[in-house]
Amino acid sequence: MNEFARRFGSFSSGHLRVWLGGSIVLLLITAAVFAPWIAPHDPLEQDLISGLLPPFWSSDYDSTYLLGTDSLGRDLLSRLIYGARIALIVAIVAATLAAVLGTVLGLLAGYFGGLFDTTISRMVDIWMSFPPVLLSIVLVAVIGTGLHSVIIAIVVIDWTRFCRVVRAEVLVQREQDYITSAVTIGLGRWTILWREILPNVVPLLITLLTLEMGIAIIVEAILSFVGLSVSSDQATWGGLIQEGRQYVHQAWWVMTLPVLCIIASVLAFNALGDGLRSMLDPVMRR
Amino acid sequence: MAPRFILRRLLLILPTLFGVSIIVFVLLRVIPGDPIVMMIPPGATQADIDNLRQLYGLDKSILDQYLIWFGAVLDGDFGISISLRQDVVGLIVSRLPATLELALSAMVLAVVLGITMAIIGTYWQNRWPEAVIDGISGFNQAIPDFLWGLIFILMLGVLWPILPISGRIDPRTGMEFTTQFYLAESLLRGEFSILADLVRHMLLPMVALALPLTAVITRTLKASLFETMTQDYIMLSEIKGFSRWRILIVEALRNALIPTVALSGVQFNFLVGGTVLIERIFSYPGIGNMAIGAVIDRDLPLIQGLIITFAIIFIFTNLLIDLSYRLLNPRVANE
Amino acid sequence: MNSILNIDDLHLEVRRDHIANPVLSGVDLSIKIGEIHGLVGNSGAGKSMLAKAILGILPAATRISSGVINFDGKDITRLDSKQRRHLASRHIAMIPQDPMTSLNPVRRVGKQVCDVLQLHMGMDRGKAQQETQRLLDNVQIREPKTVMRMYPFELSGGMRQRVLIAIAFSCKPELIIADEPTTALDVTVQRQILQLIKQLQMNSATALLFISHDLGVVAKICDRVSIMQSGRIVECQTAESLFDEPQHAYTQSLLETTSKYYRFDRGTNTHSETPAEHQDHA
Repeated sequence: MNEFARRFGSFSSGHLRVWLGGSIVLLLITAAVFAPWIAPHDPLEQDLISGLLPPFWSSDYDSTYLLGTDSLGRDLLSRLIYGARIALIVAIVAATLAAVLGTVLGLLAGYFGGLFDTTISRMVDIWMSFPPVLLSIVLVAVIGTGLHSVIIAIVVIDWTRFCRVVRAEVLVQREQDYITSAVTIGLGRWTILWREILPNVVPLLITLLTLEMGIAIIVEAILSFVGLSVSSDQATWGGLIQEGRQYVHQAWWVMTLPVLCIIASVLAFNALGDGLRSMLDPVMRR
Repeated sequence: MAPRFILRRLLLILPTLFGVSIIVFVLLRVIPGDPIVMMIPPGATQADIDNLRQLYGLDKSILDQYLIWFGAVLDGDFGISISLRQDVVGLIVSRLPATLELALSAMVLAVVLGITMAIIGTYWQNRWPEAVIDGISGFNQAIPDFLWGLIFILMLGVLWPILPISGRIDPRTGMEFTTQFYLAESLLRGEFSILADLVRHMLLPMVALALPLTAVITRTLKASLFETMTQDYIMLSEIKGFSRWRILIVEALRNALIPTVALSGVQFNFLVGGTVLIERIFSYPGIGNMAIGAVIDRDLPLIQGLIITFAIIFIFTNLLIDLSYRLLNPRVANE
Repeated sequence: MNSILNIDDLHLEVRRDHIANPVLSGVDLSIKIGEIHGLVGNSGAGKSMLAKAILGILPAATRISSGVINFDGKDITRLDSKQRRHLASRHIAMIPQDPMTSLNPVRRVGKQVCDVLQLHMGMDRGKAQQETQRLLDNVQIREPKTVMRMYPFELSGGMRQRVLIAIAFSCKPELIIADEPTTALDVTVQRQILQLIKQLQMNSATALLFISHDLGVVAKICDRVSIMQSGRIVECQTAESLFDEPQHAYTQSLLETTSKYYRFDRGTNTHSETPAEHQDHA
C-alpha cells in the first residue's frame, strides 16, 4: 500500500469518524446546555387549539412552530431540545459511573487475581446472561421511577462491560516487562496499579465510555418510552415517541423526529467511539 | 438423546424458581412505594385502606407474606392482580401463548436467516456477497430491537402502509379460537386467511426481535465456518472431489455450529427479554406488554407471577440451547 | 511408456506482495505404474507443494508458471479446475499426515467411507455400506461394523489412519499420494501402518508417491526414491542403489545422518508380519 492510501485509509477510518461523530455530539451538548436560550418556546407550554401542527415542509405549517406541535400543542423543537438535556445527563452521568465502578472492579480483579477475581468474573458472567432491557425494567420496578433510577439501572447493568474488558487488559499488561521492572525497583502494588497499569487502560476506557453513552441514551429512551423514566410532563425523546406512537397515523412526524434524534446521537457516539479506538489503539493504528 | 440429562435439567427448575421467587419477593417489598395507594378510590377512609391491606396480606411481615404467597403458589394460586382485579394465573395463561408464538417465530427466523447469511458469506468469501453480508450484519448489530421496531412502524406502517402495526389479529375476522395459540390453531384448522392475517400482524415485531440475534448468529457462524473450512478434513474432502456447497453444508456447517451455539446461546434469552419492549411498541397482547403495565401500576402479585413466568421461559430456552449443543456435538451427546 | 505420472520441468511460484518467489524450479519426476516412489527432502524443499500441485489444491497465491504434469497421458495443468478436480478426485487419492485432524469429527466413520464410494463408484447406500465393511476389514480393523457406527473421537490415531487408508484405497485409484503418513503416529504404530500400506499397495495396481523427510522409513518400503532439495529433484535412483552409491552430495549428507540406524534394518523387516495394533477403542 502506498503512503497516500495508507494516510487516507487511516484518515477515513479514524479521523473522519471522530470528526463526524464529534461534531454531532458537540451539537447535542450545545443544545442541552443552552436549551433555555435556544428553545423558541417553553417545552411545557400548551396551546390546545394548535395541536399536532405539521413541521415547516408542510403547506399547513404554522411559522411559530418550526417543527410542529404535539397533541397538546406543545412546540416539538423545544421539546426535542429539552429532551436532549435529559438524554445527555443520563448518558454522561450513567456512563461515567458505570465506567468508574467497572474499572475499579476490573483493575482489582485483574491485578490481584485469586478468589476476588473468581468472584467478580463469575458475577460478570451471570450478570451478562440476563437480558438487559428486562433487567432494567425490573430494576426500575424495584427502585421506583425517576431520573436517578434510570441512572442507577444503567450503572448496575452496564458496569460489567467495563469490568470485563479492563480485567482482560490488566491481565495482559501485568505480564509485560515494564511491570516486572516496576516490581523489581520496589514500587508498591497500588502505585503500580495506579501509575503503570491504569494509564495503559485509558485509551480503551475512553472508547468504551463513548460507546456506553450511546447505549445509555437508548436505555433512557426505552424507559421513558414505557413511562418508567422521569415524570411524563417532562420532555424526553422516549416520551415523545410514546406520544407520537398514539398519533402516528395522523401526525407521523411527532414520532419520527425523536427517533431520528436518537439514531443520530447513537450513531454519533458509536462513530466517535470506533474512531477513537482506531486512533488511540497503537495496534490498530499500524 | 439422553433423557436422563433432560430429566436432571427439569428437576433443576424447581430450586431455581424457588431462589428467583425469594429474591423477587424480598426486593419488591423492601422498597418504598405503597401499592395500596394506587387502588384507593378518592375519599376512602383509613379503615378502607386497612381493609384492603389486610385483603392482600400486605399488613404482615415479609416472611409471613412470602410463606402465604408460596403456600398459595404451590396450589397454583398466584393471587389477584391489584390493577386488573383478576386472577394472576388466568391473566398470564391467556397472554402467554401470544408471547410464545412471537418469540419462537422470531428465534426460528433469526436462526434461518443467520445460518443462510453465514453460508452465503462463506461461499463467496472475499467477493461482493460477503461484503454485503458484513455490511448488513454490522448495521443490524448497531441498531437495537427497540429502534428497529420504531423504524418499521414508520417505514412499513405509515410511510408505505403495507402492514398492520398494532395488535395480534384484525378483530373483524371474527374467528372463535378455542386456545390462545392463534397461529398454531389457525394453521391446524386450515384457516389460511386467518393465518395470513396473524402473520401480517406478527411480521414487523417478529423481524424487529429477530434482527439483533440474526446479526450475532451471522457473525459468529461465519467466523466459525471460515475457521472450519481451513481444517484438514475439509481439504481432504476437496481432494475426494465433493462440491464446495456439499462440503460447506454437509461437512463444515455442523462443526461450525457447535461453537456458534455456545457463543450465541445467551442472545436467545435477550430475544425473549426483548418481547417486553417490542410488544409494547406494537401493542401486541402478550405477557411482555402486560409486564410493563404491571410495573407502572406497581401490581406486585402480577409482577411476581410474570417474573416467575419469564424465569421459566429462560430456563426452557437454555435447555433448548443445551439440547441442540448436545445434539450437534457427538462428543457430549452420549455422556 | 509404463509410467502413470510424468512431471516435466515443473515451475511453481508463490506471489507475496507482488513478488514471485519460486517454490519449485524445474521438477522432473516420473512414477511407474504400480511402484512405490519415495520423495525425500528437508522441510521447505517443496515436497508438499509438489503433492498439492498434483492433487490440484494449490493455495490461491500459488501458480504453475511452466511445465507439464502428465497423468495417465493427459496434461492436467491444462484442464480447467472443474475437469481437473473430477479427474484427480477419482483417480488420485491421498493419505494425509495427521489422522487426528483428517476425519470429520461430527460424522460417523462409516459414513465418511460410504460417501466416497457413493460419489465415485456409483454405489447405492446399502452396497456402499457392505463395501465399507469389507474395506475396513482389509485395513485390519476388527469388528468393522461397530467401528462404522463410531465417531472419530472414539478411535485412536492408528485406527483413524487405518480408516483414512481404507478411504484412499476405496475407489481403486491409479495413484495415491501419502504425505508423511506415519509422522504423527507412535513409533510402534508407525511400523504397522507402513506394513499395511505396503501390503495393500502390493495387492492392487496402485502407484504410491510416498513423501517423507526420513530416508530410513523410505528405505523400508520404496522401490525408487527421488531426492528433493530447494525445489528441484537432485537425484532419482532405485532404493538399493541409492543407499549403496548415492550420487549427489546432498543425498550423501542425508544418508550420513540416517544410514547408521537403518542400513541393517533394510530388507529384513519389510515383510515380517507383526500383529495388528490393539483396537484400544473397545
